[in-house]
Amino acid sequence: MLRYDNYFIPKTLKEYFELTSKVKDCRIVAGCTDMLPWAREGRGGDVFFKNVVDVSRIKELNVFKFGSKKILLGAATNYQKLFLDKKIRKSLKVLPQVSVWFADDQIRELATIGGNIVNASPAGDGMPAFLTLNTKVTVASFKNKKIIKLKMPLEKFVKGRNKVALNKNDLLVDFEVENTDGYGACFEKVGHRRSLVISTVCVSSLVKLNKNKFQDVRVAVGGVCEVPTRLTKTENFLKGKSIDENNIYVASKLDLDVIQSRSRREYRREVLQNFIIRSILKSLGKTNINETIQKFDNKIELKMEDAHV
Amino acid sequence: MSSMELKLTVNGQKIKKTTQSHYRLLDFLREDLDLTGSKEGCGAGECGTCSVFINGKLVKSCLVPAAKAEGAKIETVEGIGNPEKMSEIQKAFCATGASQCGFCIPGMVMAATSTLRNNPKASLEQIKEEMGGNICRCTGYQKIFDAVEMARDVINKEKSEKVFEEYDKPANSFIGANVKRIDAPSKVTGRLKYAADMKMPNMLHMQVLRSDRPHAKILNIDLSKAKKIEGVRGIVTCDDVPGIDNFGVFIEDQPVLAKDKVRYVGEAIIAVAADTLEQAKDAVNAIKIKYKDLPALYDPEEALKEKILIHEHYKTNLVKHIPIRKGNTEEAFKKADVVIEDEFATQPVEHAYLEPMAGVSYIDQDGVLTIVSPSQNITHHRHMMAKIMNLPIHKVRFIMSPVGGGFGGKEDMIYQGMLALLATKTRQPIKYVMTREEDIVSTAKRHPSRTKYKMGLTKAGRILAAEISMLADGGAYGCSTEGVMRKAAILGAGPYNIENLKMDTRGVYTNNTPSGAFRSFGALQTEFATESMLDIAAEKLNMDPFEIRRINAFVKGNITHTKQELNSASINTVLNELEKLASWEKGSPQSRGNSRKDMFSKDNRDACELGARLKTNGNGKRVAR
Ligand SMILES: Cc1cc2nc3c(=O)[nH]c(=O)nc-3n(C[C@H](O)[C@H](O)[C@H](O)COP(=O)(O)OP(=O)(O)OC[C@H]3O[C@@H](n4cnc5c(N)ncnc54)[C@H](O)[C@@H]3O)c2cc1C
Ligand code: FES
Ligand code: FES
Repeated sequence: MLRYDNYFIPKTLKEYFELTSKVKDCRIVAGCTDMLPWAREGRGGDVFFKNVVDVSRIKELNVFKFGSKKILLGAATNYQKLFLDKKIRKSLKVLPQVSVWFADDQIRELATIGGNIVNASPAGDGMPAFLTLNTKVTVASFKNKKIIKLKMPLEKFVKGRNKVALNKNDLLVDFEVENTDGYGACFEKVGHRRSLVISTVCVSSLVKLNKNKFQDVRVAVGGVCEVPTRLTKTENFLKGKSIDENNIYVASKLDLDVIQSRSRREYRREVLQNFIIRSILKSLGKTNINETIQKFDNKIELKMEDAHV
Repeated sequence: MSSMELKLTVNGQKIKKTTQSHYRLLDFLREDLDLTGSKEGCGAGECGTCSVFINGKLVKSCLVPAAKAEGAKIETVEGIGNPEKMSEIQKAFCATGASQCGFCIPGMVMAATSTLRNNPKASLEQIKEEMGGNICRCTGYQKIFDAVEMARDVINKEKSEKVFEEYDKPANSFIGANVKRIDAPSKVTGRLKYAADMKMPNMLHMQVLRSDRPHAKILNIDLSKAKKIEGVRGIVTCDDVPGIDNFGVFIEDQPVLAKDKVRYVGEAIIAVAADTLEQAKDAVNAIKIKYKDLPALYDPEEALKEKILIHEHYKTNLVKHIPIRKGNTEEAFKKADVVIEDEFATQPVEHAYLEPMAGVSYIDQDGVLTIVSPSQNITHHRHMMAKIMNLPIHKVRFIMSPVGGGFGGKEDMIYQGMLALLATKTRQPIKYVMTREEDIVSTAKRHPSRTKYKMGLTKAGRILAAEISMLADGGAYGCSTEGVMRKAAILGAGPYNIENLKMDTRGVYTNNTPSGAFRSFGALQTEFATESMLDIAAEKLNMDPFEIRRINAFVKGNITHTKQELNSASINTVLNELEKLASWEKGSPQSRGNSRKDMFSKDNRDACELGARLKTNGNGKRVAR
């Protein structure tokens, strides 16, 4: 059971830092979808925080700035927005695909991208996708009564299992991602139940073509290692090569040593390799691209009409 | 505990109320507004029994701090309709019989409402997708999906409202008829009160300290700190039991609270009642116990060696052995053309009824100890309770609250004794609601089993003899083990006429979680072995799996190994029906798999793709690489 005496909901970064510099013992939450299930028997148990600060309504954490090169997403953006937003569906194709596999509509309505990344679970689904989008995150801290913002690559921000580059009261503010309009994209995962947290293996990939050659290939995996990671050998092997199943097959084997999970290694290697191949193939649009999403296109189209873009 | 003031709109009503700062929206709705239609099935976002709308968006209210809902518009199942004025969706749920135990149903109604609000023309696939966050353990979902499709069609004026009233008027039999469930309206509108939804004046909340050791002597219990916690009204241990302290479905071997030693992780040791749930929790956390760990038994084979005893006074770990003999198996094996031997194992299984264990107890105006709980066995519980509490039977009353799913899991009286002790001690009503985690660690599971099997058959597939020996892990207490062993021995050889049969089922004590009743009650474990053996035999003999079963199936007039003469046998009818429904391709098992002709046909799902490499061939079909 999670208990606290005070629940604060600041509306701006300034308000947030003024509050946290005055009030001691603050604990940040956003969507609470990691925090509340954690504060239960067998995990955190009965937990008490003096003060809880809800950052999900901070203005700067809800930005959505769209550019032809870069797109800025606030850290409090929820996964349902990534699922439904028309522009995101066009320019950041991989994100709605993550959402399809992410929990269910009701959890996605609450779960934020910031919370997902800060939680830094090896099985978190957001990180591999954001890695393929060459994400840079902004961290805000408060020094000498000034808000200081620091931009860094996502790889630098996530340091290990449940470890991120945040000092006390620092805030993850936004995600700067690359507009990947024109790329083929794919995200898939194997887990026990669709709307359950844990990914056994997940793969995110982005592919850009130049005639019949790979111009750009980005592949990242999660679930099998402490921190989700890009498969650079696979990517580099394919860049500039012609699109051919054999090339993909050879490339798929190059990074399998990223698997650190101790249990069921052989199974994971096999699944991972198959997943890499499939992910690239699907990104290529060779097989029916966005299969999962297409199935629900009707719903998405209808929903998008009233979703603000 | 600190409080806050909350202003919001719930089902159209403006509300301003002081509440606990740490309450989740679910707590606020249930505890402060008595809107108990939203349930807590898991408290962790997994089940959807707590789904409500916040500003038009459906979310799981167990994951929303109440403070987050400040100023918001909330809509709960109570706002969707009431038994006199139900929504189309609620009417459709009644019509298709979608509410069984009903515990998931308010959440399902909310998810269906959200789905059709977002997309009034949702296809079946879209309905399934959007309702994916809600779990039902009873219906298998079909009737729920039928209901949502029915409601959709009525809302879109493709069907008339009349479909809601199309019930059968059974002429001779209710079997197979779609009859009106009289409790459906109360379930689909969230008005039915389960045990956890009940409240009484001066009611206290109970919490339980449970063992974190599999096998340990209790050396010392220190209650001094716990007693000092504000609001604590009573603490009970095994010393508070006035009568004969044991219960169990078949063998009464389990104390209400652990006595001298603990036998499994999750066993109850001390129960505390306090004004609030939070105070009761604090008290439990303040109790100190000193243990001396004992060597523990986890393996039923080891248990048979009797080196460690779980219940010393029984001088054995064997709970029950059921031996049954028919004919002469040794002689029959000599005549067999093939003899197959194999071993089978099954795992423990959790019932996962959506309603976690809960109960309320009180001493009524006439001094009658009353227990309200979703017990599946109240008459037996009443008798055991009279003995435990040393009361005449007319001073004990059990009221069965609506059971939010049981599947056998609610047959054991594992918490009602604590409720009785605390109601007696404090003379105040007591309420107890288990968390999902607590329920999983402390309640009985389906028996894990190992079965050794030997079967002799003729070339033509006739079973001449079978030797079946099952060893089941009964866990720390007897629960239903004896009955489960009996059923396993009676039903385990399947619906087959086997002239020579040697059947042994044994259940033993270990330090694992107790095993108890679960749908099929022992038949599953041994029958799984029998059916697997028949499949193996079919492969060995190059026979059709249906055929080998037909050859051996019971027919009218056969005598079973328990000497029952059958005056009817339906297995052949069932097999024929199944074969038709499964679009079975005749032949021996070797002819199946990728070479099957009916793969990828219209009625069949694609082969599982996970990890398998499939490609699309020229005709647009998905085939193996
Ligand atoms: C039923 C269910 C299914 C789920 N399925 C999935 C799934 O499929 N895939 C998946 O990856 N995850 C899944 N999750 C986990 C969870 O929903 C996600 O990790 C979610 O994105 C967490 O975001 P949140 O806003 O709810 O985090 P919170 O619980 O609010 O916070 C998580 C942590 O991040 C910190 N934090 C949050 N925001 C910030 C910020 N801006 N700056 C600094 N620190 C911050 C908090 O202090 C906290 O430590 C599931 C959870 C549930 C309950
Ligand atoms: S999802 Fe909220 S109680 Fe299960
Ligand atoms: S009716 Fe759905 S859980 Fe019982």
